[in-house]
Amino acid sequence: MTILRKHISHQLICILGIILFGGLFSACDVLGGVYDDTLDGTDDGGNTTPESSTDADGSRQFYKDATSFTRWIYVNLHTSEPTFTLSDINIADKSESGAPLQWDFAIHHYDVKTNGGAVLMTPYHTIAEAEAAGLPTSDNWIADTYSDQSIIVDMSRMMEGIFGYAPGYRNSEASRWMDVDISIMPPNYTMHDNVMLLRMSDGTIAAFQLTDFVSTDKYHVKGWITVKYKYPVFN
Amino acid sequence: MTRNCQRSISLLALLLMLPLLAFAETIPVEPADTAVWNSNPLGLETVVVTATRTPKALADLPVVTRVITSEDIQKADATNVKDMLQQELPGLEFSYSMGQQVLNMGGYAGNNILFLVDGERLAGESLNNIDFSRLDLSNIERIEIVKGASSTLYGSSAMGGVINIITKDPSDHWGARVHSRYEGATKEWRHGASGEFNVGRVNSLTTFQMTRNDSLPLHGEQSSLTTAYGGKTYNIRERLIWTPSDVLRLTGRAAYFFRERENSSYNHERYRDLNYGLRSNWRITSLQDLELAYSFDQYDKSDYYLNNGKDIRDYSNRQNIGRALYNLQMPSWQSLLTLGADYMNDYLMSYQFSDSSKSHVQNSYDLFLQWDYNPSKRWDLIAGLRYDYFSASSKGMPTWKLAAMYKLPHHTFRASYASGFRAPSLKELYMDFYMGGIFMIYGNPDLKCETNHNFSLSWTNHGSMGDNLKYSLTASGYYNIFRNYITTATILRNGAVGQMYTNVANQKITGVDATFQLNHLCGFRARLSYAFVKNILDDGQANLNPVRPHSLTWRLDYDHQFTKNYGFCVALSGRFLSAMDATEYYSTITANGSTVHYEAYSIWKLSLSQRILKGITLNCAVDNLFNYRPRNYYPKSPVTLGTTATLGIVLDLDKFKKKTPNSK
Repeated sequence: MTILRKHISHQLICILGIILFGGLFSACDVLGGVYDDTLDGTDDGGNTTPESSTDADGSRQFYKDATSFTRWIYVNLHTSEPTFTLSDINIADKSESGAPLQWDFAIHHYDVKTNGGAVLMTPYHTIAEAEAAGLPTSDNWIADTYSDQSIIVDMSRMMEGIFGYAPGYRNSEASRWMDVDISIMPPNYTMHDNVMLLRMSDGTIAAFQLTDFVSTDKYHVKGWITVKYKYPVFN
Repeated sequence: MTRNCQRSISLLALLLMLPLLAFAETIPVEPADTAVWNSNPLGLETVVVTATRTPKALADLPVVTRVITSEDIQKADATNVKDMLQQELPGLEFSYSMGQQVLNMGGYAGNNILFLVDGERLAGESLNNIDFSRLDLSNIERIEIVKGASSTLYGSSAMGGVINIITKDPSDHWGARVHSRYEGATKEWRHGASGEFNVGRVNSLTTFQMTRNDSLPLHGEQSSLTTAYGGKTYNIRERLIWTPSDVLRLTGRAAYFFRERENSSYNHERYRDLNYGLRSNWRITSLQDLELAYSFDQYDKSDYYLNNGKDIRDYSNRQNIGRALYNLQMPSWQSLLTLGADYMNDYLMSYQFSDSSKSHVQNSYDLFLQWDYNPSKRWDLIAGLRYDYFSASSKGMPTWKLAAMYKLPHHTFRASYASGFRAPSLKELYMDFYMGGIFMIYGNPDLKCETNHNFSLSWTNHGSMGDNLKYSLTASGYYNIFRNYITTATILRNGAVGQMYTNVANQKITGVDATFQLNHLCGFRARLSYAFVKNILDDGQANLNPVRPHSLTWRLDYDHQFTKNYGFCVALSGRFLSAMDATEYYSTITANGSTVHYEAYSIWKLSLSQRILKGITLNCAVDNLFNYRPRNYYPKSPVTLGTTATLGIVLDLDKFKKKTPNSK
């Protein structure tokens, strides 16, 4: 019996050794190698996308923070370098402060409005394809429309189905680039990267497309937009 | 008639003809479970471990325990633990909130019910619930359910009860099983296999299961849920048991789980778990035994982005747990003394924490003592005491319990008091999250533990009506005083409205459970369970965890083995849950919530399980017979898509090889 006890005591010591070894092993992150990256807050997320750039095909790109529901980003393509102007919306009286005099289109979160222009969504997913197809003969260019409830500026009661709207103009055709279903939580996002053609009030045309709707770092924050554009097209 | 419909009818006709093949060889008719009928007809002699952490027969426990056996699982034709629990336990309901499965059991939320697998905790949570997809029903011996506070034995989260899933014991022969199943409404395929063998004193059990289902739209103009998302799961487990001597048993285990949820066209949510552990059970003497265990569980969440193929992890929960349990029998004192201690290192990295501190760690320690005094065959008394310490809050929490049982030949009376608690989770302590880009949710390092005091009384009557009919009736009443409920409350911080985890008002939960069971020798069995639950609130106090007050579950089944080559079990089961009004807080800027009405409903299921030849089992079932669908899908609605049919086959390959007693 004593021999058996000693034998078992020896085995228990071995078990404790295995347990200790297991514990040390577990201090490691055993699934860490499975992932491309981890949001551990130890870096800036690897965000290296420039705010603007030019592609080899002549199209250009801008990358902007459109996360705010109370801000318009105005874009002016008529300057030698595109000009971006921020304009904040007051939730209380829905007034804007900071809108520029010269602009071509503006972006609020995923909403779009134009400065007296009209937009046509093409079936093409690159600007080169849209250019190659030629200027559409369609009459379905859509102008902005005014509404007392044009854009959502207050989401704090969205789960009750109550939204705070601001009045103004909005282009429904261009805004089709992103469909956000907010009737459910979390919201469902469906992006359409079709090339949009914007016919401006002076008759010139710009092509643009939404190529991403989240931040390009590893955090993938929704509301950061990457837009490709070319201006002018179809001279 | 569509081609699919014609195919279905042809298939069903073929299934119905299969028994004719089996009847070719007939032997005298006898019930399927004669041996069980003679030894344990009502299941009262079933040995369970959860209520006392020592093996004890149901009939001898001072604490009411409900057992779902492997036979029940087979007869209920349940596809997963969620379906099984809903079919068997009244007052228990799963719903979907933000695409996650959420549990409510008798007024207690998922984080107040402790789920264990062979006594081990599970890491990770979504909306305060564990990932129930991890719990498949392959090779389950039984599920033990102890309602009421059990923190004296299990610590935090065991306020509302413990659900312990026990895997099958090793057998002394090899076994191999493959199974496949299709469910029509969600177009879910489930395939699995398991194998068991012995080499010397080592037993190996390997289990694999995979599922795949499609996304489906949910109707209802006002639904806050619009889609039941599709996805896939893989679950593989290995268990090795080595018995080097008659007094020592070593159990090693490892498991990997993967789930992908196709929640959008942009990204898919992925969930992974890797766990392993080692346990030694040493019978020191005939009166003493010692269990030492170590377990590790890592549960991760990630987003797989379809546009760039990157898989980015945003959540990782890693738990290292060490356990010790010592039992000492003292015959001269008619007592069993249990002494235990646990240590847990809990690490959590979460996207819901601030960028400056994406991870937090907590160490917790506990020590507990239980005295089980059995002065006579009629009396059993249990007293327990425990102390837990949590490093994050630098606070301790004592709990205790008292339970007594008085047993007559056909009647058993039980009374108990137990205290329970739930320590605030790392998420509740340190959250710093911009919810959906809409509002902030803050953790609260000053949170106190949720606590409860649970009083219960129960009566069990069992007996026979003639030689062939046996019955049992159990009725229980309970009263819970629930304090420091943790939920979010509206605050103003940095000039903006947000939410912060807070201990809010107390509430009381009272209720009655009753279960009646009738078994006939011929194989007929009936079970009816009823539960009544009421939240007692102060005037004007919101009902934070509303529950349907009345619920019923029922099952009628008939099991018979006609020949050595053919037997079947046909079962009609169902559940009813009464209506309720729930106050749901969606707003960050209003103090009052919205009232949502949830209608009453009942869901019926008819299933047929046929045992053909030696090792073939063919299962078919029609669930939700009367095609119940909620008018609108809200967070607490049952997610049912209406009537659905399932078809499955199980092949026990080892039985093809083995000789049965009747074979020549």
